[in-house]
Amino acid sequence: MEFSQAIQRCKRGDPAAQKHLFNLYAEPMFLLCRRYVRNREDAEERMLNGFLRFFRTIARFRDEGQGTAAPWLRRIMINECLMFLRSSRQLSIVPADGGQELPIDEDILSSMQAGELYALILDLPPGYRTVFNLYVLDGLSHPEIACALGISEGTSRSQLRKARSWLQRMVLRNETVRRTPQIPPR
Amino acid sequence: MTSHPHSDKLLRNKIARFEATSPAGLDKARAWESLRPRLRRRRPLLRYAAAALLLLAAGMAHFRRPGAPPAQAPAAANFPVHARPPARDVAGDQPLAVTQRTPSLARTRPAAARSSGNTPPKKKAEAVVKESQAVLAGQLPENEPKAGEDGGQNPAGAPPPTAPEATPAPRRLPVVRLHELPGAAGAPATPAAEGLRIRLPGGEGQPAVASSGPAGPLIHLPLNAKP
Repeated sequence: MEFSQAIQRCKRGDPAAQKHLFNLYAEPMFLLCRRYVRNREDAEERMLNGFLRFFRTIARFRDEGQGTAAPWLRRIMINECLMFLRSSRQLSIVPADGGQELPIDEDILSSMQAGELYALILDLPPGYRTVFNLYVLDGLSHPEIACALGISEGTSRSQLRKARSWLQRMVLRNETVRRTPQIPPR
Repeated sequence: MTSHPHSDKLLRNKIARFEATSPAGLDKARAWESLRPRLRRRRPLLRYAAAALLLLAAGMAHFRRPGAPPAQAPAAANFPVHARPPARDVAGDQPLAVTQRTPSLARTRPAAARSSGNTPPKKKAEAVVKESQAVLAGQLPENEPKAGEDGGQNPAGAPPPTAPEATPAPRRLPVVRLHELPGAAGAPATPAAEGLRIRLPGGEGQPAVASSGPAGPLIHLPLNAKP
């Protein structure tokens, strides 16, 4: 089934087209939700809620090709995750100053596997992780993040700074462990 | 704060590629089966809104009488005095009768002097009520001198005319419009400190409609009362 055809049929409520789109986007959206909501079951529930909202509001979507539906769906998923984090009070962001920002070494980043980086991001504390995800990986600006999370722009910047520092330390530690020669057991 | 566009872009590309291509270990068939019934279900809010609209429509159809005007004019008391339409009584064809007192005298004179002649105030009030009943019954002309107000020529002790049997009528409150009251046209009715005493006759052969009795009440309308 062609993508634009699937969108048109979804607008008419065709279950086969809905299943087609679900199968196409379920795994990427699940991984996206896990970046925000670390718990696997919670992330799956957010993904399902996001698809539910997507199919209910798809009549308002103006089909301009496959490249336009995916960002819209991603934004729906991100909003679902943010609503969940706010309602479950997992998102406790304490405004704090200070903290020296360490630039992440690009060479180390290039050498790392994407899965390793993904796992490191999941290990960030929820506040740092949310701001880092929104700014670095999903491209929101600080005013947008401040509006979405109900914090000030300064808090958003400081959370991002701390997240970078944290991630840099983790990347360096990971690199150190990887380069340490393994001592064979006697 | 320094920005790191290169490292950010590198990180973004890596993560985006990872999310697009890596298996997430998600059981898509099971997830779809849990999503499918929720897609069929209608929103409860829409159902509640539809039910509320139906109830509202049914209620409006029930309470609206056939042939009734769509809306009533607001109460006359809410109009400013100069803007009120002509007054009509219950039957709609008789102007309302009114007796008007000089307010400054009523306020400044003592109680004994306020009642004209030697008539005690209580007796005078009873006479006024009886007289108004007689007017309502059509036994006295409306502009005849009132008891106790004509220097004692028609004392309050005279036997009052009896009111006719009141036939039950629909309880509709009359609309009182001040600028149409007799004695008040063209000039300020009374100084603001006093007010008007208004007799509210019913229509011809109709009892008065206020709750104070079949003969109709004497209503005191203080003009300085705020709406």
